[in-house]
Amino acid sequence: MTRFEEKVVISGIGQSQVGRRLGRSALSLTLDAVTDAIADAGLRPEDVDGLMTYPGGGTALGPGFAGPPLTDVYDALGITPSIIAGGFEGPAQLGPLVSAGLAISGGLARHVVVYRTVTEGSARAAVRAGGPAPTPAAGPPPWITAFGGGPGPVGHALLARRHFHQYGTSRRQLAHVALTARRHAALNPKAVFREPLTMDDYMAARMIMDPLCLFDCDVHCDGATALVLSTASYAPDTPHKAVCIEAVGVAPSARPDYAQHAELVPARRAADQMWSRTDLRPADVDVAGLYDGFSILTLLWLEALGFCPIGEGGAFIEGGTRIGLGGELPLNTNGGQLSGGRLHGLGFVHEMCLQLRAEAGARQVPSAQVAVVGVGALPYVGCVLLRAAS
Amino acid sequence: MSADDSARRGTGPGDDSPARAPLRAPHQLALSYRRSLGRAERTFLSGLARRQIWGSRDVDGRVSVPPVDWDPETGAPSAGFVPVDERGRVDTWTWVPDPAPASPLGRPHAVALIRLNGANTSLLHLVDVDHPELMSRGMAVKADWADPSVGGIRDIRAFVPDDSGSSGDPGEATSRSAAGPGPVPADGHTGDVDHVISEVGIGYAFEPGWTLSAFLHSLAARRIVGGCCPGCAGVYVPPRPRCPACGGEPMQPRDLPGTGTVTAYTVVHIPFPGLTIDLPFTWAWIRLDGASVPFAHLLGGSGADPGLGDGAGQQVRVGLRVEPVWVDDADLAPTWESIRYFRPIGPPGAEPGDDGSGSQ
Repeated sequence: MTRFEEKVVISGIGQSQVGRRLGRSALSLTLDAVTDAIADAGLRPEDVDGLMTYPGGGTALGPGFAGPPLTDVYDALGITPSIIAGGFEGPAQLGPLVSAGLAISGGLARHVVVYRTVTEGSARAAVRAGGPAPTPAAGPPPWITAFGGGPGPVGHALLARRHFHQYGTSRRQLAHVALTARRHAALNPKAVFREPLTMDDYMAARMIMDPLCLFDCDVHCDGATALVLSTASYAPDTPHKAVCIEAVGVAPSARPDYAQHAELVPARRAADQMWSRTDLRPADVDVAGLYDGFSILTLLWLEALGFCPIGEGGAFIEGGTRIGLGGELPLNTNGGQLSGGRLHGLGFVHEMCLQLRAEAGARQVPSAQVAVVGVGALPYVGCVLLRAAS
Repeated sequence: MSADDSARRGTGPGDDSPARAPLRAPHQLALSYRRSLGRAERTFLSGLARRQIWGSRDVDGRVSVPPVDWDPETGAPSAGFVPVDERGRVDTWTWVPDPAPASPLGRPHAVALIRLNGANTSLLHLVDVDHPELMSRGMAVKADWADPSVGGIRDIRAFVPDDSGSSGDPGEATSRSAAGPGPVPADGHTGDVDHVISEVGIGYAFEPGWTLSAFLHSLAARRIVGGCCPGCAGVYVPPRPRCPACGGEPMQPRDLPGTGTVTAYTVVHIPFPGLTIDLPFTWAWIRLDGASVPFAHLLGGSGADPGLGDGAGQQVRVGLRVEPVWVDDADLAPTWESIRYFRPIGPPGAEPGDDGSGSQ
């Protein structure tokens, strides 16, 4: 089997300013990140022949969520791409990365820019300040679930409760996702929250949807992240070390409803698929970026990817040493989305590329060679194993 | 046709009683969208309010109508704004024999690109004539103004044939028209129209279908009727048209007792769009006795009516046995909310009426 992953590399990365409320347009942030990434790859805008994002224009999923339309971005860049792709359904925020790899390996493009932009920090602040709040149309939900139904996040709290009940996981264990992220954020100048966070702070935090408290929920921010994927033959010409895509996992979870899952780890199919495409094993991974929209999801990703048996995620992260810098699996070294800011998926890829290029500064994992990223929640999940170019 | 047959054998109508009929909920979304205008749009609409038609001039002297802020080809800013004649000639046209209900004329008419005297681009508008034989390329037309003017493109009711014979000379016409309007401010803004309000609306109806309608009707009768898959014997609440696990169909109606077990719960402390209950509340997955999967519903009341009594937080646990608390008979309706919430089935010795629910 020829794996498309062998035919592409990540040749450049870029990121805009990141902040809680920047008050800048999604397009402006995107152009910063995209031009940054193109220059980082040693290319000019006119060299780029593909542009992809998640989810992009035409997607209304909440204030500040979608990012600018692909058409606006290529128009502003003054380029005419051969292929564009966006959308919400697919392997979560890794969708455009996978599509870009497939497009390049299939000969539709040589250099594809992938971006993910959020302005949720500013947009949500505007709603809180009395701006127009999005109200879902009265329609199907009341027929299916009572009282307007629970929002998506409620499902994650129920998932956490199930994990606590079935496996004896505790808040003091789960806390280490947030506490570790905060320790790492202190080393990331771009992180949104950098002041120390203690176990006492965590245990005393107000409940949002118990057992998830304030610090178990990621922080909305403004920012854009961009990558350039290039045909592997370009790798020797990149000014920075290219990052190889070792394997991807894209299989969605089996059923679209948390309540009806027999098991609690929706990402397992994607993870199994990823490991089936490589000879590397979990023990080979030097650093990980695992989705932490809610802390419980990080725990479930650790289990899905096989870093510990199902149900033992709580014990795996207990104390925080193992997942901290210097531990056996440093996790979310940029502070994750919990403290670094909800750059939504692609932020993890950017950070893992920095690690594999040995450019992560004070938070560098020594001689990191293999990194994994897992993003999304049920039913849309995706993971990718990255490797430093040899 | 086969789907309909399936429904009749399964959880579909089965009989003709109104209580089994499929439900239909009409919805209307509407909003007033206020959009501020740029320089060119302001100039154009303000002109229309005064029965004048304005264009923009690019650096080469070409005049665009409607005006633009930037040259679409070069991106250069427009050099200024100029009035053009209300008369011109038809560039090209098509006939609309059967106008849509929203048609401004309400009868057959032409749609045409009209090159106004003094303009280098064509304006899209209607031509109000009775018959397509009266239309031709190059025919002379003039604006027929609506009364009153409001500052919109419909201030020109339509274009009509111009028999005055003065539509032929663009140069002459421009100078004639230019004499009409007053002096042009430096920024080109000639009036007070600085925004437009678009009334946006969409109507739709949600129809849950036979299967879900039958389920919702059962709730209005204080019953919970799920569906049992003929293939794998899975029992679903609510029932589905097809089994999500094995695809079996049609599901057979299955009366369930209402009692069940909490499989997970969370206490929600934050509001979210669409929420109709007070904070905080306990949201739970509840698997009814005899069902294969849980659904989500309220556990205990909400806000000031927690329903679980003092110390509710300690009382809630995975594995808790619960039963529904129904609304009063008068409030029963085909909706999940005919069940106010689920409450614990009191342990031996507890007073069932002590939970403050005030219901049976």
